[in-house]
Amino acid sequence: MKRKYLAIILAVHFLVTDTVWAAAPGTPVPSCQARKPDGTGFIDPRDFIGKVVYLDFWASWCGPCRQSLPFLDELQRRYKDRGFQVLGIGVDENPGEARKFLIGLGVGFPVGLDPDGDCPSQFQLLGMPAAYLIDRKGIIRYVHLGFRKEDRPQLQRWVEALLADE
Amino acid sequence: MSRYANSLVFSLAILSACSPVQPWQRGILAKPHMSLDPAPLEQHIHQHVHESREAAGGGLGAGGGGCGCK
Repeated sequence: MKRKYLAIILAVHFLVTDTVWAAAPGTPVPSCQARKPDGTGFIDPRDFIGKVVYLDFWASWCGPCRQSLPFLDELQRRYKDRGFQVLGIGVDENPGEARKFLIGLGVGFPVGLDPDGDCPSQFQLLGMPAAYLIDRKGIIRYVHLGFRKEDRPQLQRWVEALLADE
Repeated sequence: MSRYANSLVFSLAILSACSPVQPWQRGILAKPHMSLDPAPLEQHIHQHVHESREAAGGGLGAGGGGCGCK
């Protein structure tokens, strides 16, 4: 009798819990689509395989994102000729707030908006902001959570290491 | 035993509706009006006045013990 109930409990538990594994270093970058702010199409991180990609998840309500996006813009300008690409995915549930935030910052790299949370669900973000450094083969090599000014040299070293890695 | 097991299964089924707010879903929670203390400056002033009248302070946070030295 006890075993029967235990089996029922376990069955209920496995039926109702949805285990999704987080995108981690060493795993291929998941495919997901985030709409461009002007609505003209989508960006998908897998479309950029062949480049070193810095994929950043941001939101207008995320304080550190206000610091990270200008830094990423600077990285993009510095390394774009070496096959480096920054991608930003905004996860605001209200795309209007995300657009307003972007206008204030004036970033030059491709950005997608994902109000439904499809991309962050695919990646199973563990915090905000979250950054994924992806090598030319489409493999996630580094994951960075949060952003502080002191993190910039480390992030830059990772980018340079991946750019040097053929 | 049966009643206990039934209630356990029922509780588990109910608990399945509880899911954590994911990091990317915290936009509304991050709004100032969702804060437990929506007007921190006003609260600070009120607390200062209260402590002056009571001639005692502290006990509301990490520091202070009524010595008036915080």
